[in-house]
Amino acid sequence: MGAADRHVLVVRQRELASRLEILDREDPGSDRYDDLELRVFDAADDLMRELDRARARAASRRRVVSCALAVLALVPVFLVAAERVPSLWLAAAVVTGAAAGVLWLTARPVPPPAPAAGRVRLESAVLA
Amino acid sequence: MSAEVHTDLARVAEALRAEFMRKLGMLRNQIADVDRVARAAGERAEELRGRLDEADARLTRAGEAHDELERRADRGLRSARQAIARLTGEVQLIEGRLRMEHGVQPVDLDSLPSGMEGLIDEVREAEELRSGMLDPAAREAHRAALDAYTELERLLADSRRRAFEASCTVARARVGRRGFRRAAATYRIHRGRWRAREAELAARADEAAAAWTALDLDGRLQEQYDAHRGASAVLELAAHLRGRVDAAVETHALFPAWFTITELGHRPSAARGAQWRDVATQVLLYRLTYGITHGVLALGDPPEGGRQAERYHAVRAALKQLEE
Repeated sequence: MGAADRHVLVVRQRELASRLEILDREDPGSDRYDDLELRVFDAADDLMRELDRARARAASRRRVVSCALAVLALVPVFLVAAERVPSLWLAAAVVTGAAAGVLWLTARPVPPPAPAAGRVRLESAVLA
Repeated sequence: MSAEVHTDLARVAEALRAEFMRKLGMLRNQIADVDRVARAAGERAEELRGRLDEADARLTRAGEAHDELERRADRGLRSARQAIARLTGEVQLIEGRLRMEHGVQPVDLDSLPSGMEGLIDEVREAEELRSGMLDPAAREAHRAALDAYTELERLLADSRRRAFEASCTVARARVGRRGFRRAAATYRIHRGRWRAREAELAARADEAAAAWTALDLDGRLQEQYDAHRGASAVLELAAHLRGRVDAAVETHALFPAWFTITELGHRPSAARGAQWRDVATQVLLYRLTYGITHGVLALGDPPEGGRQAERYHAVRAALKQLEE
């Protein structure tokens, strides 16, 4: 996660915290309480959206780096094939390739948590 | 010496041959005897089988004749019963016509004494209330729908509370740390459930509102029905009608045509007097409650639905039972 992303997340988190403070000061029985609580959820939703964006950007960066590493892993292979360097360099190619693979796997788009609609439908069916 | 031995041996051989031939002859005789016995046994078995088949055929014919006789007896009995019923009906019809010629009028079961007019109005009002009430199955279905809706509301509130708790944790935890990530994941799960349950509740809102309205109306009607005097007036009216039926039977009164052409007939049978009396009372109560004045159909035309149809079918079933 980059510094800019972290900064945006911290700003959103502060916004959420400030709305929670305002809600804490409000009487739970008052008319405004529900409205303020909804604002808290709005802030939390915004934070989640920013978190998703940050994750997507981080995943994109990882994919670029993993591609670069994969290209880099090919260089020792070509050099060994051309007998410019000793075959021991192939170990470096393997390590670099493995790192590229691991990075590519971690950079796969992570599906958001299940919206639990299926579970709700199941519960509804049980209730019915 | 050797010639004597040779002669002895020839003699022994001859004796053995003769013995062997004798034994062989005996064996042949025995085999012939066994053969003869087996043949005789076979013939005997064949003869017995023939007799058995014959007896079986005779039995089958006797069974068929018995069944035929039974069928004839059943038909005879049935036609005798029908004839008796027809004759009874005709005798009762002739009796009725004779009585009518002598000025005897059929007993009036469709009207009440003037003092009891209020009673029938109360019964009709009570029946009106009762017809607006839900039947037990519909009431149970509405209750189940409301319970399901309430349970879904509870689950929604639970999801909302958990999402709120998770949002508090998200607001406090350091960004990027494990606690933050876990709280964010928890928030997403419960927020998702909350949204899904909200959608489910919105989809069920109309059904729940309809169930609530129906149950509310049913409850109010039930209260009114319980408080209404008609509920007890039915018993009073039924007792009065039973008394009239009893009086009509006691005085050998002429029952009207719509009464006699039902399973009730002209008179109660000795075996089912009490049942006949109850069913007759039910028929009269039905006619009075729903204002049936049909001269032939005791229960009038079949109603299409609702409380009256329920009552109609109940009385029809009671009449059918009387016939069995």
